[in-house]
Amino acid sequence: MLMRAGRFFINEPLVGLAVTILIAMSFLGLFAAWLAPYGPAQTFEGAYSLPPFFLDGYDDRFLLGTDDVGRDVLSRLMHGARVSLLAGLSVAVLSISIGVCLGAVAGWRGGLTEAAILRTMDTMMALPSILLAIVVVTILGPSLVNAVIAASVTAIPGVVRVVRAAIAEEKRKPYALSSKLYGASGPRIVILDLMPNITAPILVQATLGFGDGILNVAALGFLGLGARPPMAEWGTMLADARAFVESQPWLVTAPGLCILAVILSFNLLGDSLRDRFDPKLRSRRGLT
Amino acid sequence: MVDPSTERTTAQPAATSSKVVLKATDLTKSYRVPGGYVRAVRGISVELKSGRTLAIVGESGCGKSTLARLLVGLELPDSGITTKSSLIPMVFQDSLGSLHPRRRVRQLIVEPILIRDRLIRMTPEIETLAADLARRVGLPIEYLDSFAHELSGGQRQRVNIARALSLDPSVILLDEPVSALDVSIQAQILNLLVDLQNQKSLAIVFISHDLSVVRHLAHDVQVLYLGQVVEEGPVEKVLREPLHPYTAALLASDPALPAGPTASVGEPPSPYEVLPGCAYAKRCSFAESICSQNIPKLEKITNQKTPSLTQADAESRAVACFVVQRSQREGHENAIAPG
Repeated sequence: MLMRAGRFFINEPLVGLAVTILIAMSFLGLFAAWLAPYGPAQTFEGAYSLPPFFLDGYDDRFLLGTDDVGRDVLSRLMHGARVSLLAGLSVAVLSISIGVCLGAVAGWRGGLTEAAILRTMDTMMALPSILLAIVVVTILGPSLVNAVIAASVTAIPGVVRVVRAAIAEEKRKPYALSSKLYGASGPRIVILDLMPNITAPILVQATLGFGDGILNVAALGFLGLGARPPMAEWGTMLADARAFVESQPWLVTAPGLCILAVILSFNLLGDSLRDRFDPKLRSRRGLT
Repeated sequence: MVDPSTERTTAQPAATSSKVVLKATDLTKSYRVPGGYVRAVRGISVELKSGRTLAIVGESGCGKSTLARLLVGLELPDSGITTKSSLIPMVFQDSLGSLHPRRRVRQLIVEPILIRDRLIRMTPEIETLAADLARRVGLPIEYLDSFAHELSGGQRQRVNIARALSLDPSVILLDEPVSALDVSIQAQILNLLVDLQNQKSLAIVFISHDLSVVRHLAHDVQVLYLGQVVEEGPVEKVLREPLHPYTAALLASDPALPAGPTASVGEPPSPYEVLPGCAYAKRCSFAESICSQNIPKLEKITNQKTPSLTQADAESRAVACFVVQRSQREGHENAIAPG
C-alpha cells in the first residue's frame, strides 16, 4: 500500500502534489480551532491592516498580516478552509445523492421518464451555473446553507448525465439480464448489481463536483449571497478585501491563492481518476 | 465442432409419455428501426417435453437469439402464447459478461435463490447449496472463492450452468453456450449437459449455429431461416436426410462434413424486406414460380414415400417448402436429394 502510494507520487508528481495540498488543507481546516493562533473573529486593537511577513512593518504575532478591522488573516484562512471544504463536501454529497437517483431512474426506465429527466437537466445546463445559483439563492435567501444548496443544484445535471449513460450501458449486459430473468426487481438490479460497477465515473464526478462546489460557494460568498460576515469563508474574505486591492493586495491574494490551490488540486485529481478509469480517453490524450 | 466418437453419450431415448414443459405458439416479434421494422421472429411454434433437447439452428441474423429471449420471457412477443411449467433460466454465450464482476463464485451460483428469497447476503444453508451445485457441474470447490475473471471460459460456463440449475428448473435454455470455448472444452461442457439431463430428465433448448454440436447434444432440431422455421424433426433424421433445400445447404456448408451439392448462393435477404414468397427462394436452386408468390407453411410430412423414412419418423417431421411438399404428395423420392 505504501509502496504503491510512493510509486504513484513519482509517476504523477502533479497529482501527488494535489493530494498533498488537499490533505494539508483538510488537516488545517479540520483542526483550525486548535492550530490557528487566534479565533476567526478575534480583533486586535491597533493592529489594523498589518502586512505579511515578507513586507516591511510586519508584526511577528500575525504571520500573514491582519485585515482592516484587525483580524489575523492566517487564522481566518484556516477557519475558512473548514467552511469551504465542508461546503464543497456537502455540495458533492448532495449533488451526487440526488443526481445518482435521478440518473439511475432515467437510465433504468428509459422512454418517457428518461426523456423528461434529461430535458429538465438540459434546461438547467443551458443556464450559466453561477446564474442558476444566484436564482436559487435569491429564492431561498442568502446564507451559507442556501449557497450550498444552490451550488448542488447546478452540479446535479452533470451527475445525472454520467449516471444515466453508465446505467443504460450496464443494464444491457448479460449479468443484468440474468438478474432480471430470475425475477429481481428494478431497484434490486440497479442498487445491488449495476451500482457497484459504475462507481468509477461517480467517483470522478464527485471529485470534480467537490472542487466546483467550493468555487461556486466562494463565488456566491463573494457576491454577498453566501456566508454572511463576519464568518470566515474564502469567498467572503475576498469580498471584504476587495476595497483594499490596491493598498493592501495581500488581503485578496491570500484567500485567492487558497481557492486556486484547492480547485486546481481537485481538478487535477479528478482528471487523473478519469484517465485511470477510462483507458480509451487516456490513450486518446497521449497520457500514460 | 465435436469429435463424432463422443456422440454415443447423447441421444438417450427420452421417456415416451413425458410431459410438455414448454410450449409456444405462433410467436412473432418485430423491432422498430430507422426506416421500418425488422421482423425478427415471424410465427414460430415450439414444443418441448421433459428430458428432451431441442436445438434451434440457423445463420446469424435468423432470429435465434430473439426467439430465445421470447421463450425465457426477457422480451414480450407481439403475438403468440408461451406456456411454461417454470421459470426458464438462460445461459448466455458471453460467459464472463453474464457473471457479476464483483461477486465470488459461491454467490454467483445461488443468485437466483437470493433473488427469490429477497436476500442480500448468503446464509449457511445457501452456502451448502452453492457447494452442492458446484459439485453437480464439476466445478472444484476451491473455485468457490474466485471471481469470474479468475476462471477459464469453461469453468465460467460451468458456473453459469450451475446458476441456471439452482432453482431446479424443468427447462433451461442455452444460447450458443460453447461457441466461445476451445474445442476440447466444448465437448466437456456438452457431456456435462447430457449428464445433467439424464439425472433429472431436464429439458434443454439449445441455440446454436454449429451443426456438429447440435448433432452431439440434441434430440430434435428446428431450422430457422429469417424468423421462420423451415424444417423441424428428429436430429438424426433432419441432419442426415434434410428435406428443405436450406437445411441441405446448411449441412453442405459445414466444414466438418464432405461438401454437398447444394450450397446456398449469396447473402441471406435483409430482414427489413417483406418478401411475397418463400424467404429462401432467391438463394434456392430448386425454386419454382410459386416459391416467389406464396409463403410456404410448415406442414407435417404425411404421405412419406422416401424409403429410408418410416411412417413414425415421417410424422415427426415438418417442412416449409412447396417443392418438397408437392413431391411428397406425389410420392416421389426426396425432391432435393443429390443426384
